[in-house]
Amino acid sequence: MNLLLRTGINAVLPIGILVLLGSAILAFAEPYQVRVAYAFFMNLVIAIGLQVFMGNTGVVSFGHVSFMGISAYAVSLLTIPLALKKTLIPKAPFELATVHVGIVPAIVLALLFTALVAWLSGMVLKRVGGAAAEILTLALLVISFVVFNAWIDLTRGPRSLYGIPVVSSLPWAMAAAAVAIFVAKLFRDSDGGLQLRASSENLLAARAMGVPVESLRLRAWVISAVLVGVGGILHATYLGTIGPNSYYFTQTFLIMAMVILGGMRSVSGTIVGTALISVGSEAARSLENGPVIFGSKLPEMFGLTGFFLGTVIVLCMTLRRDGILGDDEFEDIVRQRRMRKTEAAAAAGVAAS
Amino acid sequence: MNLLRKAEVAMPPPPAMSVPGDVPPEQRLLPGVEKKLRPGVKAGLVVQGLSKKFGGIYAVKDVYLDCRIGQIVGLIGPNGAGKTTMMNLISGALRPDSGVVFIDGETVSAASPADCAEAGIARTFQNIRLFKRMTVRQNVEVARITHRRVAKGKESGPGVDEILKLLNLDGLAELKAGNLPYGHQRRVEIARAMALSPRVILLDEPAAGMNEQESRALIGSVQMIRDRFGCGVIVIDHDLKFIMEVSEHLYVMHLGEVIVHGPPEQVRHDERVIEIYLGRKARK
Ligand SMILES: Nc1ncnc2c1ncn2[C@@H]1O[C@H](COP(=O)(O)OP(=O)(O)OP(=O)(O)O)[C@@H](O)[C@H]1O
Ligand SMILES: [Mg+2]
Repeated sequence: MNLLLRTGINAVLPIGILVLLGSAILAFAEPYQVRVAYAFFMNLVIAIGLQVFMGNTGVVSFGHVSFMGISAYAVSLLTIPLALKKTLIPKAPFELATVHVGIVPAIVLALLFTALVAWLSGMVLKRVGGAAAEILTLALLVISFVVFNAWIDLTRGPRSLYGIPVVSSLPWAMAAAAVAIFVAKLFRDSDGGLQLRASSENLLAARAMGVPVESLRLRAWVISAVLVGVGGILHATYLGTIGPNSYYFTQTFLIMAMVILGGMRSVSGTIVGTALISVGSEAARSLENGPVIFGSKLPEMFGLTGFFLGTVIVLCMTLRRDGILGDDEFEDIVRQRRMRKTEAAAAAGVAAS
Repeated sequence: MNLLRKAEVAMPPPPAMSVPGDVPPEQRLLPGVEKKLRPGVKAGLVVQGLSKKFGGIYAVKDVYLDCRIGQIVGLIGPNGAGKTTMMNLISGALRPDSGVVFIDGETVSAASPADCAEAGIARTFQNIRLFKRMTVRQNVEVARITHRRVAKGKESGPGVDEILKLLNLDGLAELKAGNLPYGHQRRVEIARAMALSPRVILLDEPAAGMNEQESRALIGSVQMIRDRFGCGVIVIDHDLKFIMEVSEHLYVMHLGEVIVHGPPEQVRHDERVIEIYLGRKARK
């Protein structure tokens, strides 16, 4: 109860700012800008999902985007109208061509399925740490991509699935982001989150203090997979069409840059990183097309977005390994500033007397 | 429960291990020790025939050791004698090749470090291992969470705030542990271990890097821990003055074996100890 309340108070500031921003865009912006804002909130949900795992375990994951794909495909396969399904995937296994459920139960089922896959893969992953775990997550990404691509009967492969009911909109993405921030902060500050972070700092000492490292890793893995899965559902139900390439390296790289730039150990850092990368890659994208600035046409520069992301990661790794915010949440920064102020006041008082 | 009673008696090794008569006299518990125990409490740590080889060479060889509740036991020996290896074996960080560790009569050997922590064995590290980026309070909290989980609502011993106060850390509680000077960091390690409300705590060279004054204060802290937390304490250190003063019973290890043990006054005058310890210095 205490923890819920504290997390709620700490989450008010970032969520409040984001909601204000989103509302302003809803009220005043053009459709194109609304689409950009939607992508920002969707990526924020995914980045925060990734943070829950990477930030608390200290293990880098390249595999989380596969959970985005899994839940996106799951929700699509359950909600595409039956008539369309008969032409798209007539030979779908598990009688899926004849199954249709409402959007809400479909979302619940998709997230449950994502959690199940996460739990199964987590049983393997929890036993290993460090580089071995990171390679396993990379393998997960490649395996899921191969499945999306090659299981034509189920996914239509690279020709992509369409006809998914377009039910999502910016307010939904905002709500999902708010929930994700709250869940991530709650987990971070929970007993398990604290112990898990301890294990990422000093595994031996954490084990000696009775930290159940394996089961906590598994818990973080499943929670983060479900959050990323929510991002996948936001993706599918906004575009109405999905293909394997949306859930592979490009997206992984984008989300990694967001989490790393802001500081992977802090939820607040991830919010900052997501905002900066979103603005930066949007700017890079508009430059790519060779825009006209002050009357002169700039040359077209394809691939500028990827170049921008790569540069950010390189600069971040060389100049500021811990990201912009390091270990600190917004509330830590406020508290530290207040502490420094009282110290200064006390020192001034001593000097005066 | 059967085991518990057996361990409490004096310490005949369990029949499967060896016959009581096989235990060399100097490895049995000295008669004086029993009297030092607080009345009514006899449980604690019992180590029987512990051995560990690294690459065919014994780092610890057939060690018997006792640390009852309320007892402060010293463990000394030259570099490489096997003291830290003993700690690692007792706390589950290493698997013993043979031998048994009992806590309150229950076997904990071959358990994982986390299981040992839950069973009531807490430790500090010779090379400090704090959660550096976390605050002092969070370091202590990590261990306390384990205790709360194991105790299932029936917490025992002082809480986090009181532990911090007892170890003079209350003013530092919100600072990051990695930024503190070493002397303070050692105290944070002790505070963190105490938060498990353990049955026995193992301190690996707590006075290393401390000045005369700090190690004096540490003697008081160690005694305070024993009294306030009601546990057994095993202290390793190279500072003989410190260890002679703080411990009630002293074990001397050499090349993996306990060569002698007894009250510090007695051990101090033992010929073998003088030979390996003081004699070596005298010869230099
Ligand atoms: N993990 C290990 N692998 C291989 N050998 C080890 C390992 N740990 C300890 N040893 C060896 O076991 C022997 C005992 O080492 P240990 O660290 O227990 O000594 P110590 O009494 O604590 O010494 P010090 O006073 O220097 O801390 C040494 O020869 C050491 O090299
Ligand atoms: Mg040692």
